[in-house]
Amino acid sequence: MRISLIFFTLLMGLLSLPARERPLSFVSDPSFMLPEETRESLDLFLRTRSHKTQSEIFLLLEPLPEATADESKAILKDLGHSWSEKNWAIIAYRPGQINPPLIVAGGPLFKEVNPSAWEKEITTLQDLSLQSWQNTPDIDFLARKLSDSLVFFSQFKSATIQSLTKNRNEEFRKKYRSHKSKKALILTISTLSLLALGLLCFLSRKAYLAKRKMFFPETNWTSRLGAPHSGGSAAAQRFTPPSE
Amino acid sequence: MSSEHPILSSKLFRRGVHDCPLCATELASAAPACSRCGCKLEKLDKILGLEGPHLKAVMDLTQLLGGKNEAIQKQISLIERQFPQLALHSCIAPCPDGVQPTALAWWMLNRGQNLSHPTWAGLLLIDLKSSQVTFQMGYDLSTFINRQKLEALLSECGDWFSLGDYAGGIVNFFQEFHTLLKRSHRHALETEKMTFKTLNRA
Amino acid sequence: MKFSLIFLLLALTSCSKKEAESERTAHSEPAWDASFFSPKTGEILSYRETIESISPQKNLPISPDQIRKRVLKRRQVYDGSELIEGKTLHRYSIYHDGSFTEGFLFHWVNGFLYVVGSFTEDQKITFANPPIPIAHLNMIAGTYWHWPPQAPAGSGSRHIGLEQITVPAGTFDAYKVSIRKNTQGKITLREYWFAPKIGIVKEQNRIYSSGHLRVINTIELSDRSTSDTSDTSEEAPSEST
Repeated sequence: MRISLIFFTLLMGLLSLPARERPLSFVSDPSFMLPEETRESLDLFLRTRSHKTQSEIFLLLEPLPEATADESKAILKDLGHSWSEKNWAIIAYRPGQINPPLIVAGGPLFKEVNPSAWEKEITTLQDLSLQSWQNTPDIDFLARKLSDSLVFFSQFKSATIQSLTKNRNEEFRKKYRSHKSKKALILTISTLSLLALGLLCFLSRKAYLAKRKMFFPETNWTSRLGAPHSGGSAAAQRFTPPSE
Repeated sequence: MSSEHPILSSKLFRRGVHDCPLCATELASAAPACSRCGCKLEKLDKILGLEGPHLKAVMDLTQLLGGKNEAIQKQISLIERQFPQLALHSCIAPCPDGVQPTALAWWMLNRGQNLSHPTWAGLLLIDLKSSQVTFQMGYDLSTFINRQKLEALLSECGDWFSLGDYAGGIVNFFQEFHTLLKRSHRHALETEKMTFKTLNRA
Repeated sequence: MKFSLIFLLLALTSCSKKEAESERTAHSEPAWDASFFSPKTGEILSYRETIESISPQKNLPISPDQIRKRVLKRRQVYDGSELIEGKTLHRYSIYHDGSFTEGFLFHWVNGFLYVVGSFTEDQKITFANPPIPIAHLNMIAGTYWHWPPQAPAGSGSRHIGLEQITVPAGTFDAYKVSIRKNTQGKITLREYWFAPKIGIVKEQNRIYSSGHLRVINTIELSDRSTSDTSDTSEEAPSEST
């Protein structure tokens, strides 16, 4: 009997591998744990929420292939990532599995806000759901409250975006300033480059002119005073001798 | 340089005048001797000899330059590099008795040894006896240099000499002369260009 | 019960423009935004209140016969405003099944609506410490209202968002606010839906202690009237044992 149960559980586990497709309903209750009215009401509630917000809650009221809570949580996280691109949470109630019967895993949104706060939220609501008057956890209560929390945290992110925006604005201002200073830097460098180029051109021209050889035109002249080279063209000036 | 063009008469470019080295009378072209004093080179040869000194860039017979020959040489080399036709010289020497500095400089240029371009030569002579400074030019060089401007340069370097700075004065002269040369060269080329233009039209 | 009354009162409290003066009132406070909330003197909001509870001694597992259930008829009457200690405070009287139970005072400041105190039938006023924020002129989803420092650590209100809520009086677009308090092991979960121009249309309180859910108190709007012509006859509370 036990072996059959184990085999059945393993088989169920194999059948519900992490690669399963996203369910059509937000409440997956193959064994009809919830009353039909509750199931439909909850499904409608979660569906409406999903349409209006960026938050989705999935209920899996079925056994999971792995036994330990951490392994189950890991599986739920894989499922959540593959099922939803929004903020998500999956509640799995594992009938027949004792420790613990209720597993909740949440989506990746909150790493931007406060992941520990989210984990704490899940723990608190799980705890309260177990304190219901029913002999089983109040899944309906947990799903609705978790949905509220999910919506709040996701919106809270938006609300804190005001501060994030402020930070972003600060960053933008810094960036703008740095962009402005970059612009100023580029302008300065361009100006200096132009000046340097101008100076270089000037110096090059000066060097060219300095190296350039200049020739006077040849002319016909007539010698005089019997002098072969110089005809007496001169300039003369007197100067005051330096004082002794 | 102008092998493709005919050689022009120096009269077209004449900026300097020819004076008698002895009496400073303006000479007519091709005068064999000064019409006033009869000066001619042969007369000076009788006084100074037929062979002139070896002309160098700097000739300091009085040791007044104080070892600053290199600065003068450097400036002269700079000019000769840019104007390869020229040969410039400077000399501080006491003139012999009875010989004026202009005459001595004229004789040195005509009788000087190892002159590479004698008609393009220039000699700056400073006579301490008479406190005169003169710059004598060869036939070719004198065609393009304005004498009045040259006199201004000499006057300026005379101010240096008055302060006892002969080396500084000579360097300053050649620096200013370098600038004068460039302007004269520009002017000469313009004149040549204009002349050829006119000739071509004709 | 008391907390429900507070929230019912809060439902009536909303920003409104005080124009008509009651015979007790002469105020000069900044006016509420009438587009958000504007009760009129004598306006009555009728609620159906359902209280489910278990006795303090009961422990899990709870059988259905151990859950006590009562249904009450609650009326909240806006009495108008009054200048008290330099502030304009707005008065609401609460009647359960026709009998005056308690009165509440609220105050409008800086866009917030606060419950600032209560009063008895003989008009004895007790000021709340700290005053509790109930609604805000500009309710943004994801907002967390920190309660005053005197409140238990971590107290605050979460604004979940605008949603449709159906109550006996109809379907309304309301802002859902969630509050969680933990005072010496006693956990209170409250959530209410605040509809503009009306007030609180639904409220639910869950009280946990010693690891058990003890009370579920649900209040739903059943009627609105503008004069005191509603049925004031006493209705015997219904109980289920």
